Amino acid sequence: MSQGNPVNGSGDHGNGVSYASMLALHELATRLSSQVDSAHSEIGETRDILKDAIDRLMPAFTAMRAQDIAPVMNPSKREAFSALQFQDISDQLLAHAQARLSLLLHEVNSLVTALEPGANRNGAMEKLSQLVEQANDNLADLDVSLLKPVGKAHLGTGDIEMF
Amino acid sequence: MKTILTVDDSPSIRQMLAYVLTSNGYTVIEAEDGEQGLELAKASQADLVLTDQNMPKMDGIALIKALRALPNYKKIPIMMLTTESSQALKQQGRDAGATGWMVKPFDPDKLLEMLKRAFAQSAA
Repeated sequence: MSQGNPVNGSGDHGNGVSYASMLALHELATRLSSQVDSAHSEIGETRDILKDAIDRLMPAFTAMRAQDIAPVMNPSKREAFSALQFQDISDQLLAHAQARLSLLLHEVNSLVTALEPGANRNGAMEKLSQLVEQANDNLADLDVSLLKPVGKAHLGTGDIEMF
Repeated sequence: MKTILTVDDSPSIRQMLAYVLTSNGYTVIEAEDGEQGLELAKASQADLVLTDQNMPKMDGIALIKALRALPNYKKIPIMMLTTESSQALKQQGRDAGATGWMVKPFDPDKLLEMLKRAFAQSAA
């Protein structure tokens, strides 16, 4: 026996959403929420690890600074300078990814709430429509607030432009 | 001795800048965002400002606009040191009153060279 596409609302009568559709969407949204939440946490852990690595390196850097009477920027030091700066660059990218995931999590959790098995089925379509509109606005706002954080894709040092 | 105000929310970047600049005879004042940078700029006269773009509270371009509104910061060099490299943003920086733009990661020698050029340009 075919179960049909639950999202198409088989068994639906009138303008509401079928119970099976709402249940299927609710389950999907719940699983998506869990995945997004995990990705958000994993990025947070990655940022912590990167920060920890730099926190361990910086005392050595500070010691080097204290010992240098006439500091010479040899090739190794120059490479170390560039490499250390990539923690800052990576962290900015990861912070942006986290901000995007936070918004996704918020939107998916709104879906989970709207599709709760006990929710009003007849009002569900209207509620979903409002959620889509709100989500589109939020995504547009996010793109405006998050400027592209990093223009560098390699370990070379950056260009200079005098105005 | 020239005083340079560095504004960056990354402690490691501030430390590296301080290392390079103090090792080369500059006095360094550090701020962790644009707002603090503006306060420090008002409290003490810097000879040059080196600022990041993406920072909490106040970004680099907003800081430049605020500094250029202060009588004693109208002419001093203000350099951007940022991961941002888009032409559109550079133009915004230029319009705000930035003297120059350097993309991170910075090479210490190139940074020092840029500062010399900025000082020479402002003295001319």
